[in-house]
Amino acid sequence: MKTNTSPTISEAELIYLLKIKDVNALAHLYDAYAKALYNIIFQIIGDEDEAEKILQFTFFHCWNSFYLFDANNGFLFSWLSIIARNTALQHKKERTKELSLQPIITLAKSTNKKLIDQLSSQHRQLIELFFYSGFSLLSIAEKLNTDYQIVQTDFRAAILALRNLK
Amino acid sequence: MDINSYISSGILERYCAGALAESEMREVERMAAQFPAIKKEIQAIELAIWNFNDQIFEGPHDQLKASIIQSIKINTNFNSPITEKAIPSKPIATNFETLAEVKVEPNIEIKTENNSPIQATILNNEALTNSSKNQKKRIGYGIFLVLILPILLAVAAFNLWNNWDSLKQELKETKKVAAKANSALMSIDSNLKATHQQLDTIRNPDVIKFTLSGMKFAPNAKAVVYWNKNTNNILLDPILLPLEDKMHCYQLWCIANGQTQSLGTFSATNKNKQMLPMNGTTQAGVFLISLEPKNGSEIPNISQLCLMSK
Repeated sequence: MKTNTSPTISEAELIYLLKIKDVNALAHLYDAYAKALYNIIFQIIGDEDEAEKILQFTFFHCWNSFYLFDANNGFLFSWLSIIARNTALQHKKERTKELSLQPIITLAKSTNKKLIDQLSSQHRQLIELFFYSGFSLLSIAEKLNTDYQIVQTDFRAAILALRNLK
Repeated sequence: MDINSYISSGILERYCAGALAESEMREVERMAAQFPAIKKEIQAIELAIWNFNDQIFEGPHDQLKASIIQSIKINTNFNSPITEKAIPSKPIATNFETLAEVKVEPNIEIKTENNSPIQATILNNEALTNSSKNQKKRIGYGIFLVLILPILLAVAAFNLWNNWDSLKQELKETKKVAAKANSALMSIDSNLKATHQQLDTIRNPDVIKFTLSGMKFAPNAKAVVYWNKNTNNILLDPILLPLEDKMHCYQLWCIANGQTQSLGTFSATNKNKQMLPMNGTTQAGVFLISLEPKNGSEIPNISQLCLMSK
């Protein structure tokens, strides 16, 4: 993550710079997380211009509300990705009125086929439904007519699959 | 607590994906703070989600980084006056008037010494003579126009280029102003969201309010502590505190059951008067704020006690 992409600054240093509102933090923050956050937003929204605007808003929100981030307990990428995803989903909801089972940009359209091909179709579907279509796990269970416990177990398996990607 | 069962329950994956309720999230964070194995597991899950999303598409275009950073920097200094102003360039005076006054002298002069029959015929045929003169005049005008047209076109083109350059400048300035306005709007929106979050926190029926009044050291100081008895979270509203110098900071304390606990340090130089999340406490008794050396103290300095809850 942060520590993997920027050899010049650790995540703890980045958090400190953000806490004291040092503008030098912005470039490091962008280098570490912009691409992943943009890709999440882009899959939800399906429009490059809109995705860039939402990414910009995510950085603004992070910059202005960073005092709410508790470095002792919270995890920076999780915090940022939740802001980005919720903003994008809210934007999509306002535009399309209802959520669709099919995400606007499916994983099949990924530019990294080698990565996607390592995931089973079931795991892909769960990741798409949860991360990019905005369904809760309970809603997914209802939509797929499956037991909630099974969806929870499958979701964990899908995340484990992400951890094993090469 | 069986840590392995907790980890394999799937709650950590749902935490990283943002699929938990607020209270469940706080619970996971408490567990992570208590058990390093859980914290390590969360970091591994977070890394996997980040790594996956980082690789599935190409990401935004290269110019976006500078644009976002610049917008935030402008927003940070938004209150500074706009020093650059769009001043339309003054159009350069054309030479039309001068050109209009150019008189064309006839370059063909016909002189007659006597009235030859031909000349008489011509003179008798006034209409023909006039027609010939008119034709020469027209040729003269034609030559004039041929000569003057490129100059006119050049002047017009220059004038057009000048106006276009001026409009380009105006557009550039307008874009700058629009970017600043856009930044301000985003900032307002973001601040509003933050304010709503704070409002939601203090409206929570589980939250207990402690009003802190000024002591002898800072008699006019005022602050409020909001303590959530369920989550144990603390939110501090430093309403009025004298600005500390660079060598000092303020420190919030909680005294309960005879124990004094530090809830963290903070500065009064809080630009937007925002509420500050402080370290949580499981028991609330009396809250104190004291002025301490820069990195805080182990115990409160009673001689510099600023505020105390009743």
